[in-house]
Amino acid sequence: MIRQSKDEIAFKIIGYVYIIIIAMLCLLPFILILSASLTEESAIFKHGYNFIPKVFSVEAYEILLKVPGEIIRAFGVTIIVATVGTAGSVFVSAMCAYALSNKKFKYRNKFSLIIYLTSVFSGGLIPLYILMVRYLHLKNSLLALVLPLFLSAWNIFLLRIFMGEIPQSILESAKIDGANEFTIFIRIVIPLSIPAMVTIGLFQALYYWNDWMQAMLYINDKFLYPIQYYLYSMLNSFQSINTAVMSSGVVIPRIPTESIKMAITVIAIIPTVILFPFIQRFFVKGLTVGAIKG
Amino acid sequence: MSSRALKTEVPRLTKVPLSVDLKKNSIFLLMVAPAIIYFLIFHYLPMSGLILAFKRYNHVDGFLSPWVGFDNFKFLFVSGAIGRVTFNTIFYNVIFMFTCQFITLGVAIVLSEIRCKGFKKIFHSLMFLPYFISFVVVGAIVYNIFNYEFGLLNTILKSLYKEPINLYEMPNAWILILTFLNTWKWVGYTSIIYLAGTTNINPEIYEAAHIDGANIWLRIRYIIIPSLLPLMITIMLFQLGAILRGQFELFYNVIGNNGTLFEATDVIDTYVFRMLVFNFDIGMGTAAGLFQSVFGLVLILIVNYFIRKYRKDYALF
Amino acid sequence: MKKVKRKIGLSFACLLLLLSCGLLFTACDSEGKISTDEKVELTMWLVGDTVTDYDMMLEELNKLMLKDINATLKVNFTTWTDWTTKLRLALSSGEELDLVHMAPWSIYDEQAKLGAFVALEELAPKYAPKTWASYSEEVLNQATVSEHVYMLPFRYIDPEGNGFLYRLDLAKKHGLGEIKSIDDLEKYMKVLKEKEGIIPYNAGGFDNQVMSESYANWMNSWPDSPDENLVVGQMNYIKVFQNNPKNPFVLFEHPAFIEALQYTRRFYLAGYWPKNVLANKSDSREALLNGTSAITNLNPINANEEYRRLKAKNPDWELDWWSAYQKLTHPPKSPANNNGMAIPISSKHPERALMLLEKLHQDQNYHDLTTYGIKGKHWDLDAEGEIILPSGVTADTTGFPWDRPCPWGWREEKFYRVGPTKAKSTWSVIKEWITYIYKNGAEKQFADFKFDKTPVSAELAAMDSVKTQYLDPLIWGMVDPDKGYKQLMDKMKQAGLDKVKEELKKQWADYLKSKK
Repeated sequence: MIRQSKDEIAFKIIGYVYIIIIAMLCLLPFILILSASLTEESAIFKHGYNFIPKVFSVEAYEILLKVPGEIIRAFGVTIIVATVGTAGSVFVSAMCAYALSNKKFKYRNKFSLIIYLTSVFSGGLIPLYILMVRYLHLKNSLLALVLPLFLSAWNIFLLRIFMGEIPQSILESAKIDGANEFTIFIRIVIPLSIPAMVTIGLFQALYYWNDWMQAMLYINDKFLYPIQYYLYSMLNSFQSINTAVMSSGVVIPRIPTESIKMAITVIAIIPTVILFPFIQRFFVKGLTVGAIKG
Repeated sequence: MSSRALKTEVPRLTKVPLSVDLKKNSIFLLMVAPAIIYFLIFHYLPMSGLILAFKRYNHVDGFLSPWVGFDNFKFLFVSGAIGRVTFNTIFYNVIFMFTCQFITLGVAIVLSEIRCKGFKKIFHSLMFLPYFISFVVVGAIVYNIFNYEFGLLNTILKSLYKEPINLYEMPNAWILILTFLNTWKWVGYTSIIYLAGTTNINPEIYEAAHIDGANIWLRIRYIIIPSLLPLMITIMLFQLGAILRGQFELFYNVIGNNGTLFEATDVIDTYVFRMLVFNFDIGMGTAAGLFQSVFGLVLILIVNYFIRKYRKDYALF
Repeated sequence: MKKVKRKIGLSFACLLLLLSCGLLFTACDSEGKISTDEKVELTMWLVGDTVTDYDMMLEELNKLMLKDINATLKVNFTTWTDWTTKLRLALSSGEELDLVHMAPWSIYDEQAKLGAFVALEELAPKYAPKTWASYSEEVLNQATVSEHVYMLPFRYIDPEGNGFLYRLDLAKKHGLGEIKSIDDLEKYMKVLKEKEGIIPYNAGGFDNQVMSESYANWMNSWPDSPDENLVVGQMNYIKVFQNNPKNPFVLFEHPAFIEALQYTRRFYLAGYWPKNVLANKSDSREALLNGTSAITNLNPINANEEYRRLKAKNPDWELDWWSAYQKLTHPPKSPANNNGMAIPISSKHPERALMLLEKLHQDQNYHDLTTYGIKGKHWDLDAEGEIILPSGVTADTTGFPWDRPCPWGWREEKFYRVGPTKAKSTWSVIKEWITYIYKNGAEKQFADFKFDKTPVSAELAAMDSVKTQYLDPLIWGMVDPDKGYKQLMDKMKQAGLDKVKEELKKQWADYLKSKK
């Protein structure tokens, strides 16, 4: 027993130190960014990035939040797209992954290959654009934000691995009880795959959250901008204002683009960082075991 | 078992087996149908654009533009840099793969053993922050740290009365920096996958091992890692498939246009980008992408084949 | 019975004939007016950002358009985010599009070669006659690609040529005068580095793009003749002097280029610009405004603008601007088609689109609306007929900053109210220079030469890669000039420089022959 506790203690110490170092390395740059977003623009030029603002200023946030209605709307768009997209994506992916993981499915390897190849080959931007705009008429619609990212081979394969680890005995016993595959899927597989589905759900939601490319390509209407694209396009237009050809007599003051770049990062991070701890409750050991016992 | 053997022994010439198969698998087929339809529409249909890699595109003819064989691939090979650039791409991907997995595994294992929920929540959340920091910002921070005149690094060195270093003229130093940045960006994200994986471990076996006298290191080695092995292999296979695709954002924003560093840090994505940014050409761009895809495919097919031999259910297909 | 039938048939036929003649006449009366019976909605893509009150202006514009040409207009803006990608996609996808802003600095040459636009030389004389007639042969030549005119250029002269905008007050503080040569520049930077302790030219970001021309044209060995670009990739690879058209040359093979390398090497070693300039994302313009640079590199229009900004923030600063182009007797004018409008082949109403362009070019109301906004709300005229902001409206609060939402494609000199030569508040230095260009500037002579890249597209792409890796560090002085230059030439040759030169010689000879 003594030998074990010494090892345990050693492990715990090394473990804690390891985690703390990594977490600090992740936190420090964020502090730099937060501080720079609250620094006055010329101070950034003169003194670079610091952990504490040399000259404090909330100018960047004032400018970005000047029309709060717009930013709230952009958040709204993103939230709708992310929730609907993620819910649909997780369900369809899980269903497909279960079929691919079940050894009884004769064609599972063929379909796995078909799905996997989509992550290796891509026709490029232009054919997809033509498809979306000319044939599916999805320009300027929320669907254009959801559909291109809806499913990915990566998510499906991850789910497949997790579902493959569900003991056959559980599935067999349900079969004996007379359930068909779909019922098994809903009643047994899904509850047992909660950690995996939450993981995929999280990844998918983040994917939607961070995406600005679909909006750049397909959305012209400012009211449908998701948050990342909204912020990104604001930054670009500020940068262009700063270098714009002006006309006589009109001096437009410079916009502090350096601090705005930082403020944009902060605004985009904050909601997710707040929500993140709630998700961690799902990562609990031994979820499978209860099922076997029951 | 016996019925399967019967089927293979007695080949039937009628259609019956197929419809029986379909019926048996019908529910499964229905379950994969939505996903397959999606991929057919949004991935396979646009893939028809790949033929443009072999055509000289113009707006009037569109997809019916004239064929030019492999001409569009020439630009990749003309300057002779393709060898070095391909090597760099593979090199970085392999290093990134191993470092990231190794470090992330460590994080997941430690976190799964720690009892204190509060610590877990806070520190795991912190590790997620880099995922949200775009590489544009990262590039700016990196410059702030390493630039010659005012960088943090040189300021510290100067205060210690040492000579300032010009890191932007030391190509090999960037191998370390880039590897660090890549791991830093993905550690929070990837560790979630492994953490989810650890939830599948049967605590009874775990406790039993504990009681039997296995110390923590043995438990890790013989229980945790093997149970995470399928995950690790899947992740590795996906990354191999993308072996010739670099992390464009990372390289473009951190290295940028610093020609002096290219020997050690240029990858295919940045190399092609620089060549085509002022020479917009649909054919050449598609050709470059196709080159990367085919290379990755061949590699995957080989590796997957060997994994299948070792353990059938670890393979991708 | 037959006779009656025949009579009826005949009269019927005559009636039809009369009717159709009538229709014909309503369609084209004696003046040749075009039919506008059908109401049409036109779609237009412009580059850059829109402004807050754009839709308000568009409503007014559409009222005029309905009356004049029975059409309405819808406008899309690319914003500055990935605008070239968006334009390319819009043109490639075949979505219906009637008008698009085009320019050589946009994607005109590339897309025109790919057949993206409608040829205008047949249609424009009919549907935009006055505008078409206002273009001289040379101007039309510049807009010609593959023997067709695919865009209607604006009618305005942009001055060309970057120069250094620098703090004159700091020069005077240390006993130096204005900078008029590269040696003056060197003295200035030396004194600033030593006495003021700042990086004199704190370059980064866009400064690198400007640097590709290097300081070759600052050297005395650079001839007194405007030059034109023949082969362009990431930099202007092959040029030709107007006074020596038989001999195009590679920029980095010119002796002046090699001479300039000695200077830039000295500047780098002395620390006149950041050692890691290629990694610096902030440019010198930002730095100058924030006090961490003394010099920036800008074209005359931007220099004028920056001057006003700097003086507003620091009234005690004295500024000056000097460009190597000022050494020339005949500085070059920018291409006559530096802004213009083209009609994509997907348009279903090219004739109506041309009619709109005619209105924009010839009708001051259209021109004013699209450039400055609604009179009385966004602009007004003072007693002398100069344009001013209406009372109560400031630069910050206006819903329509002048000239911002891409009206440059149809700008007409005769209607333009805010040109730097006209405006009272233009910086004297710039005004002097631009007036000189207007008087003595040289038109582009060879802008209708469009180098066909297809035989050497792979080599040009490879040369672009070599340029970033070996030329950029060289011209910023980061490597030893002799060794670095030799390495550059080796790599360029390996990339196919000679093949490109051969191909150019061939196409250039054909071109010169056809010009005779």
